Amino acid sequence: MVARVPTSAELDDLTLARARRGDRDAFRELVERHEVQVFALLGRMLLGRRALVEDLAQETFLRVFTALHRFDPAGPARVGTWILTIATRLALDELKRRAPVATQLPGDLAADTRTDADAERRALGGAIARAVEALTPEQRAAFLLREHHGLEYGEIAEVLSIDLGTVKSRIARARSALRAALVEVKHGG
Amino acid sequence: MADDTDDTDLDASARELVMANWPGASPPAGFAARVAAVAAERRSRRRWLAPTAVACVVAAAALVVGIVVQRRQAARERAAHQLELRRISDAAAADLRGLKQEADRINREIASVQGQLLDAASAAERDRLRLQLQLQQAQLRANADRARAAAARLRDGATRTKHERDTIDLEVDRNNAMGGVQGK
Repeated sequence: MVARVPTSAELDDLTLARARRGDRDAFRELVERHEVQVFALLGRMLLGRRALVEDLAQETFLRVFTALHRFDPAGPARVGTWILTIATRLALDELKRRAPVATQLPGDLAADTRTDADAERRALGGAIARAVEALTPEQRAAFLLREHHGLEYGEIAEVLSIDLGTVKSRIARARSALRAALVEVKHGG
Repeated sequence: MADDTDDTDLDASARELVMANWPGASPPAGFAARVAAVAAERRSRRRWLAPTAVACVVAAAALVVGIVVQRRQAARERAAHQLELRRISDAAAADLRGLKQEADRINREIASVQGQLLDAASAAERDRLRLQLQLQQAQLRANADRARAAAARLRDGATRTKHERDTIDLEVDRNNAMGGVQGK
């Protein structure tokens, strides 16, 4: 008889079940499984404010832990989407509370090299940084959830508690701004 | 102007370019272990706090129930006491009304005897009437004493219950009973 190897989803469910019972190792495993996605999202949402990103990531997982008993694994939302929902809402709340600060995207870094390739790279970085900064936090969130985390439009609508049309509109505006930034650099604008 | 109807994802190279120039953060080493430790610590704190909070709520509820029960008991006792005082007052008022009627009757008899005394022909008859008059005056005094005691009970009850009651004329016409007789 061949031992059945649990699939990734089953493993997630098992971890989740153990974490729900308060198993510390299972919760650590759950964090390890999702921390990269959470940091990726928060880092981009908060435009690189490192300490804040870490604080919000920790707060995200603590909220996950507190609310874990309410999460229904048989429900429509995946654990990953649910965790990203919490992280996104925390980031949006934080951005509403705080005044905008200077960001540290690559395009803003001081130039210390003079090659054409570096200049082009810096120009590209600068154009994307300006385009990203010009996006509203809500546009940023919708765009990232779609383009980086691969969520469906319906899932994004759930995450942001908005209707499908608004999701599409926000993502379209973000895409348009970023495409324009890419075109600007390509044409030496 | 952005096209709100465009739902075409960025192509792979554009997405790569954007994401490369818009970097996310990466978790520091030991982040998961640290968060798990904080979560476990909070959980154990909640475990300790939950029964404590429940105990506090139960104690507060018991206190409130105790106060309510005590107040109801006190209200019941007060009501019973008031009822008893009212019963005593009512009895005293009834006594007083009877005594007042009795005093009126004696006064009328005294007046009658006084009239007979004035008209009496013989000394023996006058002595008999005087004796009768003294007897009736003694009855009247005893009646007046009982009336004063009943009035005192009534006043006491009225003060303690603060209950408005009919006032009864407690004055007994003793002058009428005594007047004129002594001088004879």
